[in-house]
Amino acid sequence: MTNQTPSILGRMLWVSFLMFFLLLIALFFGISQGSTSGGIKNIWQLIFKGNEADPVLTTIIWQIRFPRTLLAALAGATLSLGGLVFQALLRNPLAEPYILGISGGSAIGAIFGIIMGFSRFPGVSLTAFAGSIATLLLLLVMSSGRTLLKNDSLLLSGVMVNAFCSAIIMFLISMTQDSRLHSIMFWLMGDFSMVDLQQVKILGAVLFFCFVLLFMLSNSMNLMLLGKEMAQSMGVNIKAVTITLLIATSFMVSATVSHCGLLGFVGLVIPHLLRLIFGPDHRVLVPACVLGGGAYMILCDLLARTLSQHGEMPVGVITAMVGAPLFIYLLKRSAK
Amino acid sequence: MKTAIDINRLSYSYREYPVLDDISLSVPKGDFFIIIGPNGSGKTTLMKSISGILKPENGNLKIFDTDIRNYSRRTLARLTALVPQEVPVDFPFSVTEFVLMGRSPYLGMLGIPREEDIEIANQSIIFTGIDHLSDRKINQLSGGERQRVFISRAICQKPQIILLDEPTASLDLSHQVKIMDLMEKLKEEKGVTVVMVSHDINLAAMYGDTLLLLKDGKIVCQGTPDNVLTFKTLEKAYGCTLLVDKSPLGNMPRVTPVPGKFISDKGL
Repeated sequence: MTNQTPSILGRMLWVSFLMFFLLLIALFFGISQGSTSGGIKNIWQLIFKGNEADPVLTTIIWQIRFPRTLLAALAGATLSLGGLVFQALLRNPLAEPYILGISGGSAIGAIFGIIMGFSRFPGVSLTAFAGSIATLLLLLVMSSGRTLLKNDSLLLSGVMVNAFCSAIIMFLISMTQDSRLHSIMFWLMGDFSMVDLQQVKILGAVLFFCFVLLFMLSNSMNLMLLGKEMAQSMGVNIKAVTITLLIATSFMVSATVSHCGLLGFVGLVIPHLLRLIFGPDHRVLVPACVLGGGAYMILCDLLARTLSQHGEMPVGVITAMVGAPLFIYLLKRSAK
Repeated sequence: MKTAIDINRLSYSYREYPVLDDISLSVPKGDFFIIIGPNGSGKTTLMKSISGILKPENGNLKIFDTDIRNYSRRTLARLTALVPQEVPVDFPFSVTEFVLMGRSPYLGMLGIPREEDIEIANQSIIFTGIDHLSDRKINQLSGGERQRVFISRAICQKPQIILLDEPTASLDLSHQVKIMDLMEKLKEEKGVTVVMVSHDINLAAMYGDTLLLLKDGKIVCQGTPDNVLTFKTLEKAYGCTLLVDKSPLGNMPRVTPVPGKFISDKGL
């Protein structure tokens, strides 16, 4: 009777495979395109056959573009997954790390760490994590749990937290008088350029752990969509799952923010798009968000690098230009 | 007969306001047990206590002779299934997917169903008569259809006790009877103990083996419909004039609320 619908395991596998394929394509374009392009064919040979024909291009690709593209993929994956988790947890389609102010809180923590002269890892990552947890607590206290489920009160809380965060960020920036100012401003709008492969490896290892943890909880997220009581009556330990989800998500978002700055609306665009295509099952959506979010961010970064004729623009510009209209559309639709 | 639920001197208060006050009752295995009472009498709180969502503050609550605090959530979920009053359905799961979620307490963390789980889900879909809906999305169903899907999910959990919080509220007459018939069938064919909160006294009279009448968190009366649904106890609980006579269907009480205009004229 119902055996025509493919089993969940099959669906998880083919969706993941498809998204992985998309990610590979995006990776290839991310690495091969840029201000110095040697033609697709040359780069194909360079990547896959180790053709050392052009040492400059080789250096650009492996030392600059490759870590940068990987970082973009990690950031996209984290923020998409963060959006997915918050949407399930708060039962609100508009929830997203940036809109909720979690990213802003991480940024405060990160800037504080930078000003104090901490190293990027683990120093700045930890202050960023502290910042994200602090905003999360602030949000939860402000909206005292239940009202957070409603669109308007969630948005208002988020807007206020964000405004507060921006004020503090500006305050911190104007208190420092040194040359790091410009780099902080640029980083705030989202920036993948200040990174080397070693940092990406560390970040990748940390984030991978979070991805696996969240994937393990994906079925609990499904059950929690049916409400607290229903989930509990099906054996979900709501408290433990909620706390784990919140901490893991804030942690990975803050780690990403401390490396790449503020990238808005990614967590809105990707989960909604994927939910539309693949349905509401989180066991499918978690891997799809990780892989698809990565691919999306690589493409956004590619646009940011290549659209402008003079240097490059922050990638946050691109993500906001795509995401903000979608946000308005979703808000209007859910208000009906 | 074995007891399914045994409650001894259970109390629960919400911010110093007692919601349940010294409740003692026992539900035999295979009983159709219906909790009635006016709004705010503690029916839902009692239901939440039995389903393990609220921890009892004072007193004991035993499910199959074991204190509820000694069960893990998963073990309890294999014994009892809950159909809550409100289930948010803003996510487009298909009916089959939704019913299959009932297998979660038996499955691993990711809830990947085995062949037998899919078979159990199909059986409970057929049992509840919703096989024609199995490919539809739950957010596109009518209230009555949706309620049967929720019940199907609870049955898929293979519980010994099924707990329902006002399953017939806001349904039309035909769906009300369908849901109640379904519960009777579940009880008769599978020996499942049914515990239900209901606002509809007449449905309770027609289907219930045992009724429990609550008011202000206290038990007013419990027993067979004949014992509980008398003029005296009902007036005490609801504080309005009610007419109690025999149902034309058989030997069970029928309760009619009396509108004010009939009272003032005849001086009842």
